[in-house]
Amino acid sequence: MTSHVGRLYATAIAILVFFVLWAAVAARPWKTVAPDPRLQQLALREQALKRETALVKQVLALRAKAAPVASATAAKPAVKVVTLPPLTITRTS
Amino acid sequence: MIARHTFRAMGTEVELLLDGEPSDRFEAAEAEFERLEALLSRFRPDSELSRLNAAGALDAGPDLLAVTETALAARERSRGRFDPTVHEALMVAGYDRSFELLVPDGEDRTALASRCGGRVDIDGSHITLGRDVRLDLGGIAKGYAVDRAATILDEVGPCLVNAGGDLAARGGRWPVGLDGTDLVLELADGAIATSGRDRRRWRRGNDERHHLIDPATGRPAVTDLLHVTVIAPTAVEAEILAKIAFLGGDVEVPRVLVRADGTVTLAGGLG
Repeated sequence: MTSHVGRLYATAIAILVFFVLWAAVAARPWKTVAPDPRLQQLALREQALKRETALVKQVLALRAKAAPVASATAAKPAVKVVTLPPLTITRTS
Repeated sequence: MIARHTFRAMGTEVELLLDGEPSDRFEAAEAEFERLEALLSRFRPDSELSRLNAAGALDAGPDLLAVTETALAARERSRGRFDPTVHEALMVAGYDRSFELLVPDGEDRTALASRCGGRVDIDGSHITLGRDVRLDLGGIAKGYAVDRAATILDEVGPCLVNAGGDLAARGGRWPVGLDGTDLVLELADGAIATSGRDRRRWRRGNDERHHLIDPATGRPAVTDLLHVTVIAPTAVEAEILAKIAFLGGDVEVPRVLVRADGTVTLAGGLG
């Protein structure tokens, strides 16, 4: 009886070990995983966008330096409507 | 005592006012106008601008480069409402020579195609125009000259430079009348520019034409506005914003809009 139960346990353990080994071998841990080409493309695209962003910022900085034109939101010049006689007249260019 | 000096340049009467002893500053300011006109006029075949338009590419001097870069930056931020590549559209509309020499009722060429928004590349000081692209820097060049002349006079004292529709004041307080209205604006540091279709207009065929091209159509703009006056920190900026406002763009600066029916509207915190 004892040896019969022992054989059952041994068989169960053997089956368990067999499946664990099978799963381990099926996972092929000795092979390196190839990176997903889509992820590689995304990474390349991200790098290209970062380069373009830096370039655009550089161009904008150069333009701002070369042509310091006040933007529409810049401080407004001091002007008001008065009833004084005009010293000069401005007209359509 | 305010000293005054007038001369003719860039197709308009230029007036210099200076609160101080002018010394040689009036002559220097006038010479600067003449120098810039010789560089930036599209009506002078030997100007730097004409050579660029003829050759399609040029190593530009600092003034042509600065004005072109400013104009292109304005084109970008106005999404094409302000555009220096309207040269061909102006020619087709009939503005093919200095306004004083313009035939008032000449041949109608509007059947010819004209387009705006062409490519202009700047690499360092080298400007390259796209195929069939030529530049007109008329208004912005005048604003640039006004700012430069004001800087020259400013060395002596408070001053004002008035070149037709472009005016700049540095220091002092200057009451400036707006032609076609009863308005007088007191301007301290700043500039005023007026763009409109009530001057520089002519006829071709049965139609009246004017010099303000809408880059979207390549033809003189159709609008109920007669003229728009804009106040900005510099004459270059005022010139750009006046054109944008005349073509229906949003600008957040003090401005006066005069419609064809005579309605006058003050906006941007003015009045």
